[in-house]
Amino acid sequence: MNPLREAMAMVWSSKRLWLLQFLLNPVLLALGVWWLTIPEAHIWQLGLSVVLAFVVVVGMLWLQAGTLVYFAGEQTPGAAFGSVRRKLVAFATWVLAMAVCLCLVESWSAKAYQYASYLRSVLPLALRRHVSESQMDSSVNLLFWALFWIIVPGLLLPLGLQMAKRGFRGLGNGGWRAWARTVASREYWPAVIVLALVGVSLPQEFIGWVPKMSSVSGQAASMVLRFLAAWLLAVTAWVVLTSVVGRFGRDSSQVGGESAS
Amino acid sequence: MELTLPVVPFGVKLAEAKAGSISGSSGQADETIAFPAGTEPSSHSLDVSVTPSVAGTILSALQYLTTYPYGCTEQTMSSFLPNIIVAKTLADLHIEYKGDKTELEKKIRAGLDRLYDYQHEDGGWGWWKDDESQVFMTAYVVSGLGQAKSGGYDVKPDALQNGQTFLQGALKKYQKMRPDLQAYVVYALVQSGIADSGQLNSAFEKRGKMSAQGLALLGLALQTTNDNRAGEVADALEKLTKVDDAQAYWPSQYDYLMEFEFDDGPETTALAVKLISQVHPQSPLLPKAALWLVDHRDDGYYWFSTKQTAMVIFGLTEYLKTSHELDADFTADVLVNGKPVLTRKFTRADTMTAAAAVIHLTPDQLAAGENKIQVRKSGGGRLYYSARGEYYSTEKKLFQSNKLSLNITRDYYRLVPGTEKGSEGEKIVYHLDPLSGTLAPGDVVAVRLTVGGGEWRYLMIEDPIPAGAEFLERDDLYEIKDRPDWWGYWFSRREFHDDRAAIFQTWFNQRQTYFYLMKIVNPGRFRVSPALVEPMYQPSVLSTTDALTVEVK
Repeated sequence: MNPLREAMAMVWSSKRLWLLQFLLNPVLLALGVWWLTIPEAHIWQLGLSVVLAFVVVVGMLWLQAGTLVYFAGEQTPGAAFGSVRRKLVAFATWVLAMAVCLCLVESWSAKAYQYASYLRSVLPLALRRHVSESQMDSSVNLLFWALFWIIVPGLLLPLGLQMAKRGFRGLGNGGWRAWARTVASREYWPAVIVLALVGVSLPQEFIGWVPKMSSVSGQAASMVLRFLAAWLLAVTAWVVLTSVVGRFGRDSSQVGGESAS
Repeated sequence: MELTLPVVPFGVKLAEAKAGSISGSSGQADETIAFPAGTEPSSHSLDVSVTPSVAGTILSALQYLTTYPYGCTEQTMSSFLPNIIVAKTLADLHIEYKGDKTELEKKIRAGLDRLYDYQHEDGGWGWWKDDESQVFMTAYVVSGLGQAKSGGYDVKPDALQNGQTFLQGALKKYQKMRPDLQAYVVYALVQSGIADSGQLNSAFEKRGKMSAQGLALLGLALQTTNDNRAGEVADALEKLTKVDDAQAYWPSQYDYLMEFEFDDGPETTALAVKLISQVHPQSPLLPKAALWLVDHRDDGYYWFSTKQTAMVIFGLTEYLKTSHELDADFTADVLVNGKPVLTRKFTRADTMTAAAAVIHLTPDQLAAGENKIQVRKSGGGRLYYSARGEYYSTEKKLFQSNKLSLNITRDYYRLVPGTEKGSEGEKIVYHLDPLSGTLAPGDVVAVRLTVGGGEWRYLMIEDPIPAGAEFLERDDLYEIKDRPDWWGYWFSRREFHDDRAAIFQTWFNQRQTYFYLMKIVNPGRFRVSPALVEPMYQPSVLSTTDALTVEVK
C-alpha cells in the first residue's frame, strides 16, 4: 500500500487524536498569546507567568511527541502519551535543534534576492537570455521554501520521532538506523512534498484569496471560513505527516512484520 | 575635413603602480611593472615621474584631482580646494607655482557654483544634488568654503552660514555621533570661523574614544583656536605612531568619517602630519611620515581616491612649510628594460619651482609582459619617483567577475514599436524585446543594469556603449507597454559621457536596477567592454559584467 494512503488511513482510524490536534493547538497558542500579556508587577503574576509558560511548552511538546510515537506503533494514543512523559527533555532538545536550523534557513532566505542576483550575474549570456530576473528570484525563493518546509523538516522529523520514542538513546545506533531508513526511502519524500503543499501552500492560498463580497458581513464570513479551511488543511497535513514519519520510523521488526502482511 | 576620433581599447581598464624614494649621495631603485598576459599590447602605457621635492609630488597629485571625470560634492571640493591651498602655500614659501592661474580661477568659480547648486534646502550637502544631506559631506564642504574664504576667494555668505547651521544642528541632534566625526564637524566649524568652546570641550572629552584620525582633527580644531590642549592631543597622537628608522605612519583600517572598512592609513597619517607640523614643527617624525606618504602613492602619482588624495595634499602642504628640502643637486636617470628614457639634472632652483620630470611611454617603447624600471640618482638630495602602468585587460577572469557581496548584470532590450488606441487617438507604444540577432541603424535599445550584493555606500557604475550608438537622454518620451518595475529612476545620479554611462548610488542594499536608452546610429560590428561597479572610495573592490558584441546591419 502507498505509504501516504496508509498514513491517511491510520489518521482516519484515529479521529480523536486528529481532533485533539485540531483543538489543543489553538488553545495552547491562545495561552501563549495570553502569557505575553501578563504583567510582572506582583509575585502572583510572576508565578502565573512561570506556570503558564511551563504549561504551554510542556503541553505542546507532549502533544506532538505523543502523536509521533502513537503512529510509530503504540497501541493507543493514551499509551503513546504515557510513554513519552520521560522523554520530553530529549524531545525538547530536538525541537530546539530544529528551531535553530529553521532560523538559519530563515536568515539565509532574507538574502534570497542577493543570491538570485549573484546566480544570474554568473550565468553565461546565452542562458541568461532565457532566465529573467523574476524567474531567478522565484527559483531561489522556491529553493528556500523547500528548504524550510520540506528538506529541514523531512530530515529532522524522523530524528525527532526517535528522541520522542527512545529519549536521548534516540541518538544511538538504533535511532540513527531508523532515521537513515526513513530519509533514504524513495516513498518518504514524495509524501513529505505532497503534505507540505497541502499543509502550507494550500492554506496560504486560502488565506491570501479574497473573494469579491458586496457586504462586510459576507467578507467577515468568508474570512472565517477561509481561515477555518486553512487550519483544517494545515492540521490534517501535520497529523498525516506525523503518521508518515511514524510509519517509516517503526522498529525494523514491526516494519518487517507489516511487509510480510 | 579631418576628424580626430578617440579609440578606446576593448577590455577592463586596470593599472599597476609603484612609488618610492632614493636618498643618500647616490642610489638606485628597481621596480617592475608587469602587463598580464592576455592584455591588449596596444593599450599599454607607462608613466614615470621623478622629482626632488615633496612639492613636486603634490603637483602631480593635483593634476589627478583636477582631471577626475566625475563631480560629486566631495570630488568638486577636492578638485579645487587643494589647488587653493597649494598655490597659497607655494606663494608663502616663494616657490613658483607653474599652474595656469586663469584656468585655476575658472575651476574655482565653477566648483563653487556647483557646490552652491548642490546645497540642499536643509543647508547640508549629500554626495550628489538630489540625495540626502550627510554630516561628513557637509563638514567637508563647510571646511573647504571656510578655507577658500581665508584664501581670499568670495564665498556666498548664506551658503556657508546654512551649512554651518546644519552642522550645529547635527551636533545637537546626534548626541552619540562617532567621536571622530564629531571632531571633524567641530574642525569644519572652526575652519569656517565658528569656534564654540562648548563644542570644542565636548569633542575634547571624547578624545579617549577617538582614532588617530579623530585626534588629529580635534588637535587641528584646537590649534586653530590657539587652545593649549592641542599640544596634549598632539602628544597622544605621537604615541600612536608606527615608526622605524626610515618611515613613520599612523595605521587605520576603517574610515570613521564615511563609515566603511578601508586602508585609511594615508589620510590618518596626512592629518597627523598636518597637526604635528603646526604644534611640533621640529618633530623627527615629520620627515619620516612625509616619506611614508610619498612612498605610499598606491596609484602611482596619487593616492587611493580623490578624498584621500586631497587629504594627503593638505597634510603634505603643511609639512612643506616646516621642511627645508632645498638641497637637491643630483642627476636622475630612468631606464626601462635597460634603455635610458629620461635623464634630468635637478638643482636647488628646481626645488624652488616644485619641478618634476615625467616621461610617458607608449606601447612601442614597452615590453608586452614585464617592464623593468631602474631609477638612478647620483648626487645629494632626495629623489621621489612614481611609475604607473595602465592597460586594458581582456583576461577572462576579469569578465563577469562577480561576487555574492557585489555583482552586476547587463541586459540589452530592443524597443519594438507598435500602436495603441488612447484617449487622444492612436499612439506609438514600445514593448521590450530581449536582444538577439542583429540591430539596424535607428533601433532604440534599452540597457538594464542590475547590481546585487550586500550593503554598500558610494557605488559607481560605468557602462561603455557600442561605438556606433548615441545616448537618448529623454527616455521619458518613450511609452513602454506593460512597463516593467525596473523601468525607474532609482539612482542618486546618472551621467552620459561620450563613451559610457555613469550611474552613482549613495546608499545600496541587496539589489538595484538601472536603465538608460541608446539609439543605434552606425552600421558595423562593435565589441562592448564589460560594465563595472565599484564603491568609489574602496577601489580595490570591482565587479564586472560579461562583454558583448553588437552587430548593426
